[in-house]
Amino acid sequence: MTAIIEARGLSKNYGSTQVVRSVDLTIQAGRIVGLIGPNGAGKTTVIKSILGLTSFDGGLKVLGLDPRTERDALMEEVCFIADVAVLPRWIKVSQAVDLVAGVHPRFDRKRAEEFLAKTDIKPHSRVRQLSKGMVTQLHLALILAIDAKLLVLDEPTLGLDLLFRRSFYDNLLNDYFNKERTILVTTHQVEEIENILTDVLFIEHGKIVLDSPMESIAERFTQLIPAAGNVDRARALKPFWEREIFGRVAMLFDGRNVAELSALGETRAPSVADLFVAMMQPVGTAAVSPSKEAA
Amino acid sequence: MNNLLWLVRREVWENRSLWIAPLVIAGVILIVAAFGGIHVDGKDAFWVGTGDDQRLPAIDVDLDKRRMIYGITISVFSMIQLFVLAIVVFFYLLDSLLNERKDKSILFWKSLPLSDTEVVTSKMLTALVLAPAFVLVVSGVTQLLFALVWSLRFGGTQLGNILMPWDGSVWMNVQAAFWLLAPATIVWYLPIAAYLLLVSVWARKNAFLWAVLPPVALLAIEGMLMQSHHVADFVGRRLSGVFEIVNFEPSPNITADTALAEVVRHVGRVFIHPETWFGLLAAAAMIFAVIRIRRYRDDN
Repeated sequence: MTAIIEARGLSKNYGSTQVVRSVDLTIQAGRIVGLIGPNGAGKTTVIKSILGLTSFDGGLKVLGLDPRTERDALMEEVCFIADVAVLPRWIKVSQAVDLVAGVHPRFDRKRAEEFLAKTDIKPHSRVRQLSKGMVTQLHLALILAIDAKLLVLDEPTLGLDLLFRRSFYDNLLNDYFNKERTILVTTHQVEEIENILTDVLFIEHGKIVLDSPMESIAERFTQLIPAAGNVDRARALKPFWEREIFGRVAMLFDGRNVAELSALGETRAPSVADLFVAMMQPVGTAAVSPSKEAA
Repeated sequence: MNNLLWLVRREVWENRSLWIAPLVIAGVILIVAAFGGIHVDGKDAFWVGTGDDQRLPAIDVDLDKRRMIYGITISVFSMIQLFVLAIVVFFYLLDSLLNERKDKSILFWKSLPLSDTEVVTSKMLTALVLAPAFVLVVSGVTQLLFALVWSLRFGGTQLGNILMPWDGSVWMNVQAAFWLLAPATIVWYLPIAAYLLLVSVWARKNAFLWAVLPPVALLAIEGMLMQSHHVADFVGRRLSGVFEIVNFEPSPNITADTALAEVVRHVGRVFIHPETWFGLLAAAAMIFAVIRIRRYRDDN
């Protein structure tokens, strides 16, 4: 099976700052991959490299093409929403549909029109007259009607309210995703997408720190809330993260047997959000008070 | 080719000032012709200049002179419309590749299978072919409407006799002259258009300043250090159009019927002038740079 995205030693420097440090990653077809990381971790740079929007060092193939030299061919198979509200403000809804239909060989006009008919967007409105949520709906309508092999979404729902965000991902799953398609998404709202992801990639300081299918996350990581007397025994098993909530301690373990842990208290699979917080704040820092952190 | 057509259509949708400005100027010309305070003095004389010698008493004006006056008048209309177009196109080019980054719509354009070459070409075509062609059509029609307005207002009067409202063959000659001048003019101004796009794709803001400052600074430095004005001459020649480089001097016995031939004879020389070809080479290099820079330009 050929990989949709394959990066080997992908790096990017801005002057002397290295924002992406020799990233290796492979994304297979039919996956929904979340690229998750704090601000400035290099998410957007990785995405821009994949989309041929920025130069980079190292090897990167997207659909077998080099985004630096074969971008024009690549864009027939790849579509993306980078940032909300990038549709030109002067364009009319009908013009936007005409234009994408005119230039994109894989655009299904009927599909876009059906999607738009379900919204409050009027064909004669200009983008500048639409609300932020409607602009995103319009953009989604255009993108979902393109039969692309890879869809890249970079913070596609930033600044939208919960209802729009929810329906955005519902539409994505129900109307778009199938076995031949691959979606790569970055977002701050990890909780909202973790249920739709098949794989997660954590990125920190320009390095991939976790690259895992969702199903192996539950196998590999365990969250334990030890019973009152068992905290020290649990600590002896070397959790990589812990925190105190309402007087109870929650710990995260990597690669420990669940049976061994469940003898000490309550165990469950951690959420991606928990795992993200834990991995971005290794042992020690979580317990540090904010004033010391500032120092 | 299909993509290019859609991209040009997009420029037409987006930049309505390119189409509205010539129509507004046409309207102004017609309103002035209809209601302007055009003065005819007691001797029924018509002032075509400021000096007394340029005053043409109505009775002395023969048909050749009247046709000449008509030809010059409608040519001036066209020139006004083209001059306004030049200003609109100047800002259109200067803003076109900057604005798409400012409002981030470049991320939408780049998500479509459109190459940088196609995008840049569509802007050049819009600025240098489509918009001028539109203005020439509009100015031709303006002159037809002028005929109607002028004959309704001054038909049968002395003034109507001096500035005739209509002469079919002169009108045709003027249209032909402007359309024939167009290719030479486009070639001559191509480097300026490419320079404006280069500033547009490169600047993060204040494109106007970036476009104007370098030549002005060079000109000032040269003036101060060497007391010469080669840069000023060069910029002036590039801005003033094709008649300057071919030393166009109308012959003393030029008439409305020979003017077109004189224009044609001189315009051909633009294409054999070395400066035209140096300009084209510079334009090609700048357009190449524009395409390369747009490829990875990123303000975020």
